[in-house]
Amino acid sequence: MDLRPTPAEVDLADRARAAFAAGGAAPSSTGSLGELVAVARELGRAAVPSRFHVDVLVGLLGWGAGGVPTVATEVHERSGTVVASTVPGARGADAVLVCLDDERLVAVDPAAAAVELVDQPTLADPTTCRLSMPSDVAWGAAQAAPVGTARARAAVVLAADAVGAAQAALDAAVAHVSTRHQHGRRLGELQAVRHRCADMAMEVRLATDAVLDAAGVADRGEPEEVVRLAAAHAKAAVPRCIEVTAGAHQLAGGQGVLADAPFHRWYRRARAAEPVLGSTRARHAEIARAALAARRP
Amino acid sequence: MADFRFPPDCEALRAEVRAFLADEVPTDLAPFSDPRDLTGLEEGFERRLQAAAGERGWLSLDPVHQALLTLAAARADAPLIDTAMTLAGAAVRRFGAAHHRSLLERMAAGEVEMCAAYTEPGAGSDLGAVAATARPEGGGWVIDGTKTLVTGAHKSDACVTIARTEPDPEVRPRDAMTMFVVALPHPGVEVRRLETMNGWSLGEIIFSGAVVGPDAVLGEVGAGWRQMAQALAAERSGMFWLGFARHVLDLLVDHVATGVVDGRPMGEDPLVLDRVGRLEAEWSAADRLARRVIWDSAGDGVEPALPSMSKVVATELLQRIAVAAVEIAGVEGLVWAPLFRGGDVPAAAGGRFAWEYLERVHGTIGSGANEVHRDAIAALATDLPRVAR
Repeated sequence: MDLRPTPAEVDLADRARAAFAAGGAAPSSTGSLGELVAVARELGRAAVPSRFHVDVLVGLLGWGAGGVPTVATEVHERSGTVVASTVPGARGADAVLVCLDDERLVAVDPAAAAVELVDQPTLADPTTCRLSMPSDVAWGAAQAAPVGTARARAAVVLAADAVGAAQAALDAAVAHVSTRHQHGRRLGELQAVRHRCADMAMEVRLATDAVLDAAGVADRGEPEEVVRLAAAHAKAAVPRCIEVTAGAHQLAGGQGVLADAPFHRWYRRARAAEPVLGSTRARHAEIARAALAARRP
Repeated sequence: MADFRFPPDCEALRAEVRAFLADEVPTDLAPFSDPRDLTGLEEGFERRLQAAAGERGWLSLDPVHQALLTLAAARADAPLIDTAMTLAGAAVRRFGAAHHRSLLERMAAGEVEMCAAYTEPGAGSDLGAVAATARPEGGGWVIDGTKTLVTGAHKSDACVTIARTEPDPEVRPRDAMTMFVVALPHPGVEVRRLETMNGWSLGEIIFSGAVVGPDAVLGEVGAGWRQMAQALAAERSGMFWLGFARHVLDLLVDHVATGVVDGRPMGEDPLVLDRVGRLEAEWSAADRLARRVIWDSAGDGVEPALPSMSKVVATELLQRIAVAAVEIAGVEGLVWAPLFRGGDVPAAAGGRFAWEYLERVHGTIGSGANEVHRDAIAALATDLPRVAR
């Protein structure tokens, strides 16, 4: 029943915040989910591009071949073709680890003749590509990898990124309405504005704790199905973060839609994890099925 | 590393509560039902159960074990919640003097029923507007005024109440009031029932020149408003709302697991799965928040906004669960029956979903309207400018 961050997590968060502010890379950690979450929250807050999440996933997949790989997680197969619709940084990568199912991946050279890449930037990442390759080529070179466990844990770290973005958006919105005067008073004195901020603060609290809980469950070494369910709850908290970043935009008003204003960076960022997390409906269905299965007699 | 689990020593209590509910509470509670009581059960049965809980030391647990008991009892729909300790315990425990010790012991033993009578017709969210008065006379006090919307007044052996003891209207409410414990029944005090929209009753307590002794004062003369604020904060971990929410969500999951619509299992309907999954995620989130309130209160101290957050989150979740249950169950979900009516009601969850749909309206109003809590959250959890209240 201890909810305090460890000294290592606090220290790592401090160093990560400083590093991201200076345009640097993520500080290294022991790789516990608690520590990765601490870094990811700062990354989301800074809303800067980083290889951090890809590297986390690569590490969790146990990939040791070196180079600069990227990972394709949302993979579909249709008419003899394997398609990964949103692969981050595929063009510059030495290899793409295409996750075929919960237990297998195939490592492909993005420049190989059998691999087709089409630039397909998302609203959150300009480097994403659509990758396709013949199914027989993909499955022919498939190798065993802990894809399911890696994705569940990576999802917690990605959710932490969204939590960081939401917290930063809330802080910036509160700062804005606390100084902006309209109708002779500060916006932050208006009850409609204050209640919106209260709701946003609640959403951030709830989302943060879903992520911290999932990290704790994984780091304690709970059974895999318990970790997966906790990860599903962390993923299900991401819509709260999206809601907060949207609320921050509303509070920021007209100036907030300008490219130089920071709000759109958090608004985009909160959706950056979607290609790895899967759809909101899939998460809810996963949680509902677990509840139906665990029904008391 | 964040650990939201109850501490290991709670497991023994969990097992005891489970055994108690299985052995001491009949499966069929219909013979003991009383639709006019909030708990749905008649007073004699409730008092026996409360005494049994008191014997086991369950009415004087520390906050962490108390939370576990509350959650387990509410989840099982067992009436161990609506006790003197829940409603008035915080005030008597914190502010009672030596002469209140025997009352506290009898509360802990489950021997007395008590209620908290703060609200007045003109003082709901704004308890600073309390108009009841107590004037000193012959060493004691004479109380006049009307308290309303009092949970459990009709069965209470005593009430905790608050009245203005400072006649000067210029003195601010926070320095003008005093808390009292008044035994019931009492000369000059009338208790009436007010029927609620869902069939059970709240109470109205009318003080007409009620004379009480000096030992009726709870805490300090003039400190009542501040004491009341502290006592109310103790209500707000939200654990009992969450226990009820868990119970109704369990009923909804059962309904979905066994339901069939147009020849297809309800549990395969993607829209139903989406809604149930969302509510499960929301329940878990609310549960974590309530635990954070309790754990942090027992540890280094809780962020001041969190109890209000927990109250808002839990009560609004209860409403969403009730609405979802009625909508998922369809027309069958609209059939209403009082609690513990028995198994003969041909309706979704025995008429419980419709009961919940009506019942959960008041959760967002009582214990401080959620709007008031949002004011508090905005002030305490953010750096927004200060505003006058």
